[in-house]
Amino acid sequence: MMRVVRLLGTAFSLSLRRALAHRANLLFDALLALVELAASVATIGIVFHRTGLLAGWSAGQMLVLTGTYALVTGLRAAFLDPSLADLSQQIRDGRLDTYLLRPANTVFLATSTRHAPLALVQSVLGIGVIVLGLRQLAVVPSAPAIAGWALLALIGLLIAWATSVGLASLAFWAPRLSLGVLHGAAWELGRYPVDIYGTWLRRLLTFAFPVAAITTWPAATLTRGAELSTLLLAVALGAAFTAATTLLWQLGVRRYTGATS
Amino acid sequence: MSRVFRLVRLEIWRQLVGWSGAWWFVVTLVVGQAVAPLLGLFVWLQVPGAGAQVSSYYLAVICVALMTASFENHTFAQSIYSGDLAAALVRPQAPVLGPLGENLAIRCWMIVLGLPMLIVVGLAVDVSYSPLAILLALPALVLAAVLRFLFVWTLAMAAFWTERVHAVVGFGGVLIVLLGGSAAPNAMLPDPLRGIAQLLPFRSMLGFPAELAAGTLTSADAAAGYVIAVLWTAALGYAAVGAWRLGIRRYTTVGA
Repeated sequence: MMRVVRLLGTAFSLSLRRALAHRANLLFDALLALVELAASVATIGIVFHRTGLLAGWSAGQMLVLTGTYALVTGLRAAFLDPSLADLSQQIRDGRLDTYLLRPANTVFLATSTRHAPLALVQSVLGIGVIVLGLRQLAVVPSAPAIAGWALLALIGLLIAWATSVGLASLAFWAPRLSLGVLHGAAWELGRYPVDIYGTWLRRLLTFAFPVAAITTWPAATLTRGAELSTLLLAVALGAAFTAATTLLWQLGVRRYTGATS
Repeated sequence: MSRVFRLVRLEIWRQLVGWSGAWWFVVTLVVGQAVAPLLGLFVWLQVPGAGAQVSSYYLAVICVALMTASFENHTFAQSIYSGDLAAALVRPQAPVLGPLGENLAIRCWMIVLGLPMLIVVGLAVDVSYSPLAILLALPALVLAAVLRFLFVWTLAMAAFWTERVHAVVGFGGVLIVLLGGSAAPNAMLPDPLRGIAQLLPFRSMLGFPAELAAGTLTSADAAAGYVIAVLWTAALGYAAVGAWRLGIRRYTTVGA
């Protein structure tokens, strides 16, 4: 485990030094993250100008949800997306060989060792929006609520990893299939609480592609207090998705025959 | 002029054939364009007082988004970065014809492949359109298509100056979503944001044709919207020409 953490630290340090060499890019990325988050907050303002509650969520709770979404999306963009962006392509053209030959966990190397540290700007801004939301609600979350929120946000990140890797792993069987953009579109649904969607879509977003676990549950936990049933369900979903993805990856690697796969 | 039309037609046909093998990728583009208005639809269906026409409006917004989608930050900007633009410069035709033809071909595929999704959304929510309203919206749709292309093409020319063209175009995309009518219908915006959004070009690129199709505008508002759309089309046309003239001076093929 310590070896994995050391590898992660080294990869992040290398990426950070590479990113800081291009200061103008940092400025662009920071500005875009700021504008995107400001637009999300403005949208909440527009909606709550017309209504006091959106599917049972107040403006302050929505701000906490938006901040959590930005936090988890920033973490995903910084630690997962750079590796996952062309994973299908690597499986297709045989570049996965590079990872298979290295003396470390293959799935970890192939999916989590390229980083985009500048994307963390979005996460920092997200924390700011969460604080803004809590101030508007005049709520000081209890320690269990904060711990529950952090655990759920981490599980959300784990589910993001599992679903992305799972979809990319399908390239072992269908090399031309590229579902990354669809994953990104489904991820967008996490911008709002799952309560706004219809019954069937809500079930899909809870169990099939658990967007609920990524933003709705963490935000609800932080603003309304931790619920044991929610935490247990999130842990079960995180474990199930991770196990299924690991199994899919192992089955896929068995099929993999290098550049001709 | 007929030569230009022939060249555009030829480029569209060439690109239609070229993109026919990438149908799955086009489906992902369709979903990517539809997700923001779909989110808007889900949100405003929950807001009391959003109006009975909100479903019709958002279905029209999805149609407009598919018919006006522009990806010059990927296609045209990439040709600047890779140096492929040099090949277009030595051809005896305006360099804009290539990006324009590719843009229209992608839109054609998006409309075809997006049709099942439009039908599903149309059946899932309560929508109604009058034929007259749709006729009135068609010229606005054409203006939206021109405006969106000019806007994205102009922003994509930032590739002459910076490596961060996706961030520049992304910034424009945020404005279209927020002020164009995707995050909220123009009528739902609070004052003075509503007035500002009516004067900016983003509503003409997305929400204005949808408002006309859904029949939510008075005659005076429709006329004012058309005047604003025409003025912005001229302004962005000049901006695109100006950006091209400035950018092409900096261009040094590979390594621009």
